[in-house]
Amino acid sequence: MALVGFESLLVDIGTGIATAVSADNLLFCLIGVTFGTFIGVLPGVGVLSTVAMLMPLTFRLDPTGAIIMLAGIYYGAAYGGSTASILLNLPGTAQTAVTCLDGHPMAKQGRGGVALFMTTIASFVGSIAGMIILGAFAVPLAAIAFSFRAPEYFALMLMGLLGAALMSTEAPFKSLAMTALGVSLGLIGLDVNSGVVRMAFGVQQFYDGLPLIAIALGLFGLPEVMRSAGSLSPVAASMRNVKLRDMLPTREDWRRSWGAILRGTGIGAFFGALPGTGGTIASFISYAVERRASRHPEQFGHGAIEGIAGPEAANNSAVQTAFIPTLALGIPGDAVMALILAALMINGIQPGPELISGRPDMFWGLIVSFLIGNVMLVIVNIPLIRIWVAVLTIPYSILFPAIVIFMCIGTYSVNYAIVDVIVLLVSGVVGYAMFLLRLPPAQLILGLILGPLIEEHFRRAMQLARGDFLVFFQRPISAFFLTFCLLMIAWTLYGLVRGRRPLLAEQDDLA
Amino acid sequence: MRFLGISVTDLVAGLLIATIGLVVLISSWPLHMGTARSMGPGFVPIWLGIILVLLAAGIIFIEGLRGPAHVATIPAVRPLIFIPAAVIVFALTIQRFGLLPSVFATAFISTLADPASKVWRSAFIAVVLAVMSYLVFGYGLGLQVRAWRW
Repeated sequence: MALVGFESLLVDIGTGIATAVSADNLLFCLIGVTFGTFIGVLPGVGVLSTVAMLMPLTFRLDPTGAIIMLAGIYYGAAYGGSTASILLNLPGTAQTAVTCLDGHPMAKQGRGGVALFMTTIASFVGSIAGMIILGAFAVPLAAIAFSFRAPEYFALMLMGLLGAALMSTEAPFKSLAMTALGVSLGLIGLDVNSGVVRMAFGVQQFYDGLPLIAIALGLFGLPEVMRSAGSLSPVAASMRNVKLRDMLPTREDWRRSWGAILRGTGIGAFFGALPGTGGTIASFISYAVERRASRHPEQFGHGAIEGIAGPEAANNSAVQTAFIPTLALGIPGDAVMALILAALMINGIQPGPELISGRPDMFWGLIVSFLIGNVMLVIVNIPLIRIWVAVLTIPYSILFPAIVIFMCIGTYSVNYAIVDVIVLLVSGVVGYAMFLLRLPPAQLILGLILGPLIEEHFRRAMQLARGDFLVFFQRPISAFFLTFCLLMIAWTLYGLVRGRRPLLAEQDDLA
Repeated sequence: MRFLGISVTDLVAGLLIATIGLVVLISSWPLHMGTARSMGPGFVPIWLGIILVLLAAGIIFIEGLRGPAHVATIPAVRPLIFIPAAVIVFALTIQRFGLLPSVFATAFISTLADPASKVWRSAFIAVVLAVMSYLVFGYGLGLQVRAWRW
């Protein structure tokens, strides 16, 4: 029996390889990782808004290729982000913020090339290890998840939402409120159980729910532009003539880095798979660990190569393992994963245990594409680094009108509805107000996407249990998840009473 | 900045969320609540409305009183006017005039968000973007939208 399972697994992986190396999918993968590096390099253009901007495309493409492309943007951005961190001291993405600390001093010492080379290698090692962990853990996890019923899914989603809201914030009430608001907005429209329309306020276009892409672009993309237009000034690139020879690390650099890369990979793999924590936190923890483990902690902040190798391995490894809960359970750990989940569902594919057994071509194709994509990224990032250095000099004054246009057309193209563009506008204004009031928009997106699912599982569970709320504690797996939820709440309350700074609250300031 | 010891940004955030919570609550009130065994469409939204109001109280009275008082600063004023204006123009023109004129107008207005913008430069960017979006979206991706319409 076990042998049969192993053979069919090999067949499935074979299908995946065949899917991933098809000409179309290779092209989508290349587009995804290149575009991901591009927006990663550019400060002021976020991953979430880019994924949302390209989501309408997935309705016109083959779903597998589309998801390969969206995922490529996600992990490609983690590579590109470090370039801006090192050369400009300006993080391209939040995940690479910590790379500024030692990467930029290295650039000032004339070792920017070495820093870029080492971050690429660290990213590659972290990604490949994360990808292997993803492949190894997703299948057994999905096998367990086959026994999940409504109570388990409800408890798991609640854990995901609470984890995302509580694990990395210094303002738990604000992020919980955004989650609850997201769930409420997710309920707008037709209730499938009763056929009643809820909270649509008479707008017929909302009967099918709010337009997700318009809201995601509005909350993230428009505020990014409204904050940066006119204030992000172009920078002179100091490294225009970087040569491959100047990029090669010394023997000493390697000796100091490899341990950091391995530790970073482990830290990233762990925090990536957990709901609510991800690359950003993993990179900060990796930095702290390296500084503590180092025999020269005084060099940190002045160009210690361990300080870029560890965190870069960590954030890339986390990006890969973040796919474990999304693909194996159908529960996204962060807002970008939630968008990718939504893209799958819009294409009629339900992520979760059935995806792995029912659509092996897609599941394994995606994983194999991660391998291919990461190899592409090394090529795109090391020999072609000059292109990205040049990209840094593109003035934002040219970029942001293009971003506004892409957001408008992208939103409009989903339903050809003006209402969606108005939702984009309103969400943009709301998103800007949220930025001023320090309310986290990522939680809202996560709640919006998971809201209808969590309500559905909750109602179904209650129906099966004949109205007995204790059902969630009588089933061992859901009891385990709910206990974890209670522990998170208790930990947060304890933190409020003690007035402690939460796990790496600084990331809020950097994000 | 604090008001009665409460951080003003937290106070505003809390009041807004409380208002939204009340809107959720009131608009879901007429819906059938159902029983725990067979929940109606109103059960979850009504509880969410209550939870939102409670969380708003937490924002005001716990985070607002004990947390740091952040001052909301607006990085630049021009984008606040011209970026939303550009989106409004897009909404008004895309169906009436078609893709090329609509993108031209939208892009032109959004370039004004940059205080250093110059008319000819903006016009140039707008023309390039209009042609590019027609090629990418209309021609390349087969968007069902006319190039222009008078």
